[in-house]
This record gives sequence, structure tokens and C-alpha cells, in this order.
Amino acid sequence: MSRANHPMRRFGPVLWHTTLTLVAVAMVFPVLWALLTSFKPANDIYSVTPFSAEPTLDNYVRVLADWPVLTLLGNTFVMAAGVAVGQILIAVLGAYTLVHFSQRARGPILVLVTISLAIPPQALIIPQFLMTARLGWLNTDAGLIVPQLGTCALAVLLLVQHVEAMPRSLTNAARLDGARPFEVLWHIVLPALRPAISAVAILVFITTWNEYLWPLLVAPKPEDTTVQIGLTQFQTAEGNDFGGLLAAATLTSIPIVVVYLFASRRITDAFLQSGIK
Amino acid sequence: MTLLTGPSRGVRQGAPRRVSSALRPWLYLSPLLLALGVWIYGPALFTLGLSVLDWNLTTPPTGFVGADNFARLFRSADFWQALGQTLLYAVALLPFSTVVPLLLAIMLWQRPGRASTVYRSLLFLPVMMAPVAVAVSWKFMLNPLLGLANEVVGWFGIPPVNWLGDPSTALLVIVAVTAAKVTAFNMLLYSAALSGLDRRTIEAARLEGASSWEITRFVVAPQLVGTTVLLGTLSLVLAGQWVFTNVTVLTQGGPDGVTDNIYYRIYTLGFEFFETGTASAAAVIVLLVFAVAGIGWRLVRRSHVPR
Amino acid sequence: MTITASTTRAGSADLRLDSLTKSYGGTVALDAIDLHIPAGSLTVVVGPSGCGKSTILRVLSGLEAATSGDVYFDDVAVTTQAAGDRDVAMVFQDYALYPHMSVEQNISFRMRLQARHDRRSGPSRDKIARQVQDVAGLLGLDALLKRKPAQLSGGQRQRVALARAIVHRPQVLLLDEPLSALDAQLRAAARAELLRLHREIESTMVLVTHDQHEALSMATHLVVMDNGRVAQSGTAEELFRRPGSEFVAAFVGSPAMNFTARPHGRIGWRATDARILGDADTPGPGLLVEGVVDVIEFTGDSRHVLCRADGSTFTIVQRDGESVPRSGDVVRAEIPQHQLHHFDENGNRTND
Repeated sequence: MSRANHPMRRFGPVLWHTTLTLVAVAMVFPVLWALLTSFKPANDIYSVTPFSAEPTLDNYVRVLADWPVLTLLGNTFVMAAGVAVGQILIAVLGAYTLVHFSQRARGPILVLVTISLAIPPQALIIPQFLMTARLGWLNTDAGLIVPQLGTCALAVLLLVQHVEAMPRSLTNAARLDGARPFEVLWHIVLPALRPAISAVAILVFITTWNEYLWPLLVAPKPEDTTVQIGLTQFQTAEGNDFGGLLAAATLTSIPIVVVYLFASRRITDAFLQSGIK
Repeated sequence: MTLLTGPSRGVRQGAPRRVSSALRPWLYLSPLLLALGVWIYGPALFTLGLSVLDWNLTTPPTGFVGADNFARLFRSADFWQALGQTLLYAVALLPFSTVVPLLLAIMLWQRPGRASTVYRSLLFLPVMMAPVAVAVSWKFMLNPLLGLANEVVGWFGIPPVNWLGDPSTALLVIVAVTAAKVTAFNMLLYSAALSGLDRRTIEAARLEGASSWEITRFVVAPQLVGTTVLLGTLSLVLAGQWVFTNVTVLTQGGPDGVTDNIYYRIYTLGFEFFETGTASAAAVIVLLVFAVAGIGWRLVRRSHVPR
Repeated sequence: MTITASTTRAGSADLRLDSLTKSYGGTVALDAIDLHIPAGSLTVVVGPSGCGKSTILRVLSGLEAATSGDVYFDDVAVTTQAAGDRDVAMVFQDYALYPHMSVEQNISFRMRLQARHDRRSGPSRDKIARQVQDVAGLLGLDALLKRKPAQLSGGQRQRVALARAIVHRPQVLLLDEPLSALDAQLRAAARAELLRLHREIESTMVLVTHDQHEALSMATHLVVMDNGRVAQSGTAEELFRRPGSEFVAAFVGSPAMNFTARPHGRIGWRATDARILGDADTPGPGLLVEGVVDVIEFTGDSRHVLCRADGSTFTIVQRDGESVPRSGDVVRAEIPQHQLHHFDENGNRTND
């Protein structure tokens, strides 16, 4: 991209870099500090120096030994993946049908979907909790996953936009070729939606991974819970073992950071392409 | 069922090849409708119903108590405080939803290139980090006796602050920690809006001799008004929700209810005190506020002629 | 590139629209149309934008249902039949090639679906491969079978769209502005290929275009549409020599027909039928027109002389060799009686 083409250069380079660096540091700092502290031995935990004189993996060892890391990670993964897959299914089927088959029902249904975005979760958790308990789903994967499928609004809206963007002639050609509605979806629409689907899936996965309120209600028991809850419980149980706690936080952040590193482009593109009205 | 028509069905008789061509749309929509109906709208109605019942979750409901729950709510000072705090949060987070991310986005947009990409990735990180992990890290750093924060302020000669336990600072802390994530997310949205701008309008302005400042003010800014209004509104309405996790982990609404807000109140009423009736009443009030805001939004949009 | 003989022929269908109406909400796109498209013809449906020609294709194909009226293929009502069941193929204006499939997969898609729907008597894999090869050879696509649409040029994509449409030898082939996406050079060659194709396959071809030149040159049967109605249908020659209305007269033929006002209606005459009179010539029986030369366009083998007269304009086409008028000259021209077209106040033809 040619410099000359660029519209404006309000801030001098020094100011630019300085400001951005400062803000970036502010954003990254807590995490960075947590990471650094996790390598410090217990007596050094609160030291101000970034690197301890005796860096140690003790905290990690302890966490891995005493804490059901893998169970927690597993539970969280199952929940996040389950919700992502579930919402994608709902959204793909819904978006395809709304755009291609339901001229009249489409408006009202989309309104319902959009409004559901605005309803605060705290207003719904009591009945949601009661229903989940009634179904016997407390402390189960089903209880973690199924109720969270209701927040599929974002997935639906994003996919509706992408399905609409497909040229009608493609689906018409497929219909003319004798494809039945499901075949049109499978052979023509889905391949075209692949980038959108993966972006949405990643987004939903990450959002669900970070979810706190619902798992807190549904799966509070240490063995069955997710990482986020596990972290806070760890704290209560261990009192002031921040070293272990921060090591645990770091360990459990790794999967997400990895996903982020691979997928940040995809995610930002998905947002950029959808545009904001 | 004439609400949904398959694409090529005639309006009249003649045996259609597959009867299911009319059923199928409903079939494909059922997961969506079920998900929304069972887990969103059903509960919403349920909450409305709960708000007028007397029920403590363990024994069967003892009956219709009408507006008692609401009355009790209005009488409790905690409720009004929480309501006020919610407003405070909304106002406090507003600049971090609009002005700050906008500036950052503009800065990044000015100099596209590798540096910009690096900064952007770093600045987006708070969105990806698990809120609990971040909150916990802060809890650690804000420890009044040994935490990093007090060490650092000590260098400037300021006495140690009880960040989370002092009513005058607790709120600031919550806002600050939440602001990072909000700024990061909204910065991305502004970046998207900026990348959608037509460069030619800027080049045209440049050819006419406009200065950088004039370009920002008269060409770029007007095109971002829509996004800003949207983000601002979202911020005002959702601020209380955004701080929820941080409040739960760091302050539990205290000290003295200083960091409480209506959402947290609903949570504590329902799940710590088991006063589901009252909690639901509070939830209904929130829903009403949303409904009013939504209708107001609609009216504003309708009167404002789009570009 | 030659079009070689094919191995199987599946015949063509006689198409009929009976009192067919198609409306979208409040707008009527087709107004109780009666249209007959002869089997095996190359019928071109032409008209200005919004006249309903694309709608006819959509209704014929089954992609959209008629609001009322019937569609018949060989006297069998197919009005309620789904698009995929009608043995109709279509070449879309934007070609609509499946972007994630190769050329070969694009072409074979329909037959592969058939094989899947009907495991017992559907086409076998061999048969599919053979027919794809045939049609690829027919259209010169052998070298491109493995490529994806994004890697093809506009002309190549058009041929793939054609191949996909004719691979299974449909009874009816619909083409929606098939040449409009091509640049001028390719268009003439593509026109000739379509004509050759029509000779080769037996399908009834229905082609929609807004270009009257294309329409005249390709059609064995021509249909002119105006605002949801059939203005006139017949052979190209019929429509050219005996337009039934001012609309058809003005639409067909280039340069457009000239009109001279009369007490009850107008007289139409073609620019090429007029002869410029020299000063000494005496006009014979027929129409005499007079005007001042405005602009002269040179087209290589002729001149288009645009003239002004009483606030209106007319054009005369003058072949080389005759004396050249200049801008500003007064010019007199005569059109023989038998080449005049008389129209009444409603625009309908009155003479034979």
C-alpha cells in the first residue's frame, strides 16, 4: 500500500508508537504479569521484579498434581464445542430456510431473533435454571450445552447475511439441476458458507469458553465444572496460593490463545465483512 | 399452511411431487424456534409470572401475591442503590465504548502496515482472554498488602490503597478492568467501519486542500456517526452486564454495595437469598427498561432519514 | 472449433403458455399471455427492460410458479411441476457455475444427482463420464475439465454453462441474455456457435435478449414483448416486413423506423427504403419527405443521414455511390407506396 495513497497522518510517528505501545501494554499487562508470576516461587510471589531470582515450575507442578486440570479443560471444551456445533446447526438450517423458503415468516422471525439479543441473561436465568434442574440436567454436559443454544441470535444473523449475499442464480441453477431443498443446502450453500461458518464457530467457541454465569449455576461442583468456575474455586480452597492460581490461569488460557493465534484473521474478517448497520 | 411457500409450488391443485416440500421449511426452522422459544422467550414469560408469585425455589409456590414482590423491591434501599450504580456504570463506560476505541481505531487505520497489525492483535487480546483469568490476575495485583499495584504507587509516595475494599476505589477498579475489554472489542468494530469507508471521499477532500484535521472532522467522522450511536446505546444499556463477571470475582457487589448493579442484584436475590419472586420482579423491571429503550430506539431511527 | 455430431438425441418439446399471468405483489409482470413456442425452434423473446421476458423464462423453467394460467409441454400441463422435474435446462445470465466444483463436476452435477435419487435406473458412472466427455468435446472444453470456474475466462465460462445445460439433452433449453456478458468481439462468434448448437441438438431453445439485432439474426421464431404482453410473434422476417404495431415497428430493425404524422395515425417507413431525390427527380407514388440535414454518420458501407423536419427527426440510410448531402442541405426523399406501414391512432397496423 503506497504511503502517498494514505489519507491522513495526524500523529507524528513518535506519538503514534508511544500511545499505541502504552495502550497495548495496559491491555496485555495483567495477563503478562500473571504469566511471569506463575514462575515465581511462593516466597517471591509478590515481588516487583518481573523475573524471579529462582524461577521455578513448582506452581505448575502443584496445579497439575492437585487440580483436575484435564477434567476441567475437558468439560469446558465439551461445553464450548457443543454449543458451537449446536448453534451452527441451528443457524445454518435457520438461515437457509429463512432466506430461501419463508418470505412471509422471515420478517417476524428475524425480529424475534434480534430482540433475543437484547434480553439480559440475568432476567432469564432463574427459569432457565429451574427448567434445567427439572430435566435432571444439573451438573451434566447437557445442562451446560443445551440452554446456551438459545443465544444463537448472533450466529443466525451473521449467517443470514452471508446466505443472502449468495447470488440467487446459484441456488436456482441447483434447483433446476434437480436438487432437492436439502441437496441445495448441502452441495451449494454450505460450501459457499464455509468461511462464515468457521468464523462464527470460533467466535461462539471462545465466547462459550469464557462463559461464567451459567456454568456457575448449573455445574458448581468442582469435578463437573468448567475452567472458569474451577479457577475461582481454586482460590477459595487454597486461600492465598496465588502462584498456583496464576499457573492454573495460564495453563487454561493456552488453548484459547492458540485458537486466537490461528484464527484471529478469520475472526476479524468475519466481523469486517459483516459490517455494522 | 400458506405462510411458508416452497419456491415452485403452484397456487392451485395438481399433485405435488413431494408433499413435504411445504412441511420442510418448518422442519428446518424448528431447531431455531425451539431454541428461542424454550430457552429465551419461555423463560422470559416465566420470569414475568414468577414476579407475581411467592416462591423460594424449594417448596411449591404458595400463591399469587400480585405486586407484593415489586413493593418489597421498591422498599429496599439496596435496590435503589443497585439501580443508581447501574446508571453510574453506564455513564462511566461510555467514553470507553465510543471515544477511546474510535481514536485507537483511527490511529491504527492511519498507518496500515506490520506495526499496525501487531498493535491490533495485542489490543484485541483482552477480548480473547477469559474474563475470570483476567479478574483473578487483577485480584492478585490489587492485594492491599503485597500486590503489585500498591508497590508501584508506593514509588510515587502514595500510601497503600485498599483497592477492592475501599468504597471510593472499588468502583473505579471494576470500571477500569472492564473498560479494557470493552475498548478492545469496540475498537475492532470501529476498524471495520473505517475499512468500509470509501477512500475516494478522502482523496477528493485532500485534492481540495483539506488538512488532516478537517478531513477527520468533515469527511471521516460523519460517516462514523451511525456506528458511534449504536455502540453508545449498546454501552448505556449493557454496561451493567459487562461488569458482571468482574464484580462477582473481585468485589461481590461490595464494599457496602458500592459495586453492585441491578444485574448482580438479580443474581444475589435469586441464588443467594432465594427470593425468586423479588429477583424476578427486578428482572421484569429490567425487561421493561429494555423494552422502552428498544421502542425509543425504533422511533429515533424511523424519524432519522437514512443517508 | 467445430461442433461435432452427438450420439444421443432426446427430442424437443412444444411449449405453450395459456392465459398465463404472473404478478409480484401489486405488479403484473405477465398479463394473461397466450404464447406458443414451436418444438425444435430457436425462439427469441425480445423487448425493452421490464417487458417480462425474463419472467417468461422463470415461469417456463418452474423456478417460479404462475399466478394463474397454465404451462404446457407437449400438451401436458406442467404448471405445478417443480423446476427439477421438468426436463428443462437453463443458461443463466451470470452463468451460475458452482464455484467450488470443477468444470467436470459442474457439468455432471445434474446427472450425479439423478444417479443418487434413483439408484437402480439412474445413469451409471460410466454413462455420466461418457456424456460429459461428449459435451466437452462438442464445446471444446476437453482441456479445461479439471479447472475451477474462477480460473476460466468469460467465454470459457459461458461454454461451461452451456455444457452443463445440454449434457443430458434436455427437451427445452432456456438462455437468459447469454451474450450480454461477453465483449463485442466474442459476441459475434458466440452467436454463430449458438446457431450451430441449435442445429446440432434437438432441444427447443428459448433465448431472451434485449438486443434486437441478436434477436433478428438468431431467431427461427421471434416474440416481441411489451409491458407483460406479447406484442407480436412470428418469424423474424414477418415481424420486420409486417410489424403489427408501432411498438414492434419501432423496436425491430436498426436504425429505428421513422414515423410521419397523418390525420388519423401515422405512417412508418424504414431508413433503408427511402431514396434521396436529386433536384431534377420527380417523386413517384408514395411518401415524400423533406427535411434539413443535421448529422451524417458514416458506417463504412453506408451513411446514416439524420434530418430535421417540423420539430421531428428522421433518418435515411444512403448507400455509397449516391451524391453526398452535407449538413444544412435541404433534402427530399421518397418511399415507395408498397414499403409504407400505416398505423392508426392506437398504434395498430391498418394496411396489409
